[in-house]
Amino acid sequence: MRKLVFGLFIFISPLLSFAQLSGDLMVNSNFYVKDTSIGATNSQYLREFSSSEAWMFINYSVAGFKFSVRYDLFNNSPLLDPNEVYTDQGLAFYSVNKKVGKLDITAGHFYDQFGSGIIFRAFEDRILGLDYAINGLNLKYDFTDDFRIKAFTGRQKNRFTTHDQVMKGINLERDFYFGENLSWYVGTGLINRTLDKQTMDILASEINSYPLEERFVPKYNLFSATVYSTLNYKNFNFYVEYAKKTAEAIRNLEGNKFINEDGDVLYTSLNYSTKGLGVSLQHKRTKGFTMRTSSFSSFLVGTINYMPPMSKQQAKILPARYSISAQELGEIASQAEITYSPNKKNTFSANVSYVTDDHNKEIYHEYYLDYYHKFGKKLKATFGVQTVYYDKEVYENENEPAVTTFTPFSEFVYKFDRKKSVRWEIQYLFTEQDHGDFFFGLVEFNIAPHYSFSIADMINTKPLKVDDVKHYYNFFVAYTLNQTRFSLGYMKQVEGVVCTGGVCRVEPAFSGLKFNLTTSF
Amino acid sequence: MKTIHTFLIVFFIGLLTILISCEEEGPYINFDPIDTSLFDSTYISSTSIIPDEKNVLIEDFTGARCPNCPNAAAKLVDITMANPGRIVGMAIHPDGIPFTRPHDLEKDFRTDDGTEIFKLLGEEGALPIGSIDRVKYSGETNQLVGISFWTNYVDQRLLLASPVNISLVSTPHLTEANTFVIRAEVQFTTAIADDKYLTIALTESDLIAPQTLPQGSIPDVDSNYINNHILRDVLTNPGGNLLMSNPEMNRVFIKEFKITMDAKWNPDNCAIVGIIHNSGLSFDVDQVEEIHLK
Repeated sequence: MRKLVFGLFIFISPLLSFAQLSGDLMVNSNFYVKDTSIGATNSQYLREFSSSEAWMFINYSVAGFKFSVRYDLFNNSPLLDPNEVYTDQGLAFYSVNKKVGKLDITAGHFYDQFGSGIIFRAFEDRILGLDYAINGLNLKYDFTDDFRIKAFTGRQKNRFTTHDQVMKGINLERDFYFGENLSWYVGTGLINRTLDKQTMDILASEINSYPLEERFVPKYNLFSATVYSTLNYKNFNFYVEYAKKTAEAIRNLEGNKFINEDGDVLYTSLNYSTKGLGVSLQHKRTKGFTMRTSSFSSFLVGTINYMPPMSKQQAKILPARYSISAQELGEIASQAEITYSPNKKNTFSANVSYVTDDHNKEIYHEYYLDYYHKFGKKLKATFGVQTVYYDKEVYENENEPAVTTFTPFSEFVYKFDRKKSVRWEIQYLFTEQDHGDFFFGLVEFNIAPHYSFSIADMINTKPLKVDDVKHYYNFFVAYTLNQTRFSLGYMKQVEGVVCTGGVCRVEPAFSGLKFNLTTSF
Repeated sequence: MKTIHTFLIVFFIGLLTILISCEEEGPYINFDPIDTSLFDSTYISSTSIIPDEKNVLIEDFTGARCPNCPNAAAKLVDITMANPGRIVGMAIHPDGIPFTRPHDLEKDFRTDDGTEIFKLLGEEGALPIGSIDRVKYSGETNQLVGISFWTNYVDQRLLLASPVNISLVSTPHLTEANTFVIRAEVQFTTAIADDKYLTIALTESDLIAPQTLPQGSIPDVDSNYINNHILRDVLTNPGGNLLMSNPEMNRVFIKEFKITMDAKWNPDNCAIVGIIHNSGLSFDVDQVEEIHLK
């Protein structure tokens, strides 16, 4: 036995010397302090009092193989569903990857997308608790540097299991080059999702209960195909994608009945970029383009694809308060963004977004303008203003009037020396709807590269949903040592929509302590 | 390389065409017009009623060319005799299986409704096979089980209480010949947190048709074999009609159904079966009742 172990060690040790081990860890812990005045009264405030989430990714590469595993932990967590207390842990992601010549093989879980993701995107977003990894087989083959094909089959991850519905897809991409100034990238893809029998039985039962004129024969198979193209000419970039899906049972706009509807999306963007000037124009028309693992999946569960957002991705808290997600059942959206920097000291940015439903009724618009000025080596400032029209009934399914806002904001950064700096923000959101006006002020003191302290307060100065003026304060400290970062914050957060990259969900109010740890190795 | 490109493009377009043009077989959806002349009502009764004893439904999936199926029919008789008045049987000939192809096409007992019920319950396993109250028992892959398990599972189900009473009445239609109106009165004796469905079916007994007999029998086909409880038609959707979600205690449904008799059917030998059950995630039967058509 000892000889066998020794023999194995002799055999494996040369391989181990070329092996690479890497990984990362992220831990979130929340400690809840009930505050009925802001609606922070979920189960966690009444019973569990704390919750944790953790993800630990390990990547191991040896002899051309790459092994990945991720341990996930959820303890009394509201992350996956804000109204749930979820506890489970285990291996949530595992995969083996190997490249054999021009063939790239992945077995297990993988993230990927076709084109811009309109028909297929498998991705993860921990802020929203999303993990759309596919558990299956993913093959990619590069015929040449400019001609690629990939195909997969599998099922979408569902917490620690998978959804029952099978998915498969194929994607071809070809690049063409015409001299130095002109290039053309084209691609096409096809996705097929098949409902399982149990889901179909439930669906058929429901449809059989409808009035006769509303009944239809639902399809097991959904097919969705896309064609996309990127044309680059000098400083111009033109992207266009058209995707079409076959009819399937999808929930109607009211969400109370299934309808048999096909769908399509046209998405295009034109970008121009030169020294000191950037222009971006985008347009998207969507009709009936819900793509889920099952007809019964709703909200953010089982989403197969990704719709590019058509609003400015705001980093500041009050301008980001009324962010939007794509309306997959029908919308017509346009966006224009210009950034102009006449010199290193001044930059102007402007953005216009305009979204209507498929009956041309306005559901969102945003006009945004900011000006960045560098006063010297020590002081930089940004001044801006934003106004938004936001149809709350459409985006949050709340029977409330549309929200109109006007939000001026400013940000200053002052550097005392190479290590110490202070940053402060002042924002004010005027609105006659929803929660009413908000003021936001923040002071952040940084001592590079280790420390960051901040104090912030978001004040509901003219509250419309509560009796008194409410303070949503935030005390925050972070410590960074090499790749490891600890942060601790005591805060109150108002309920509202949280979006990352155009994917949004409504989150309840928060009151308590938040701890975060990230590291990599 | 050009050849590969051309091949791939042709392959991709071909794949797309094949996949999208494939005609799939969808689930059963009932497009029959709704007869508005039939009575349809629901209310909550102010009077509580005594729950009836729980009856058990045995669905025997069988076929004319299935040599062991007469054993299942005999088993159904044995169980019925052992539990008088508590067992309702249905012999279902699903389509698409060589064993169910009739010896005599004039005596074809296969029905679309029966085929759909077979699909709903799992569509797997060799005939004869059956479901006992449409329950998926522990350790079974679906609702269909071999005849050696029937007695045990029936005994388990007979011990349960039924949360619903069914009353069936059959009367000849006043104006239409060879037509009967079936009135089903359903009353829930306890509240249930689930979707509840009603299935009404027509069965016929004493049907003489050739039947393959168990191996070793001489002759191997009995030309005068008597078939009982043969499913002829389902008056509701094969998977049942939704009554309501989460019915309250004393919730009453009164529903009428109409059936016009096929020329081949003998009304004197026909029975009406009413079933209250789940549908979708499970198909468990809460109660089943049977009456003679005439």
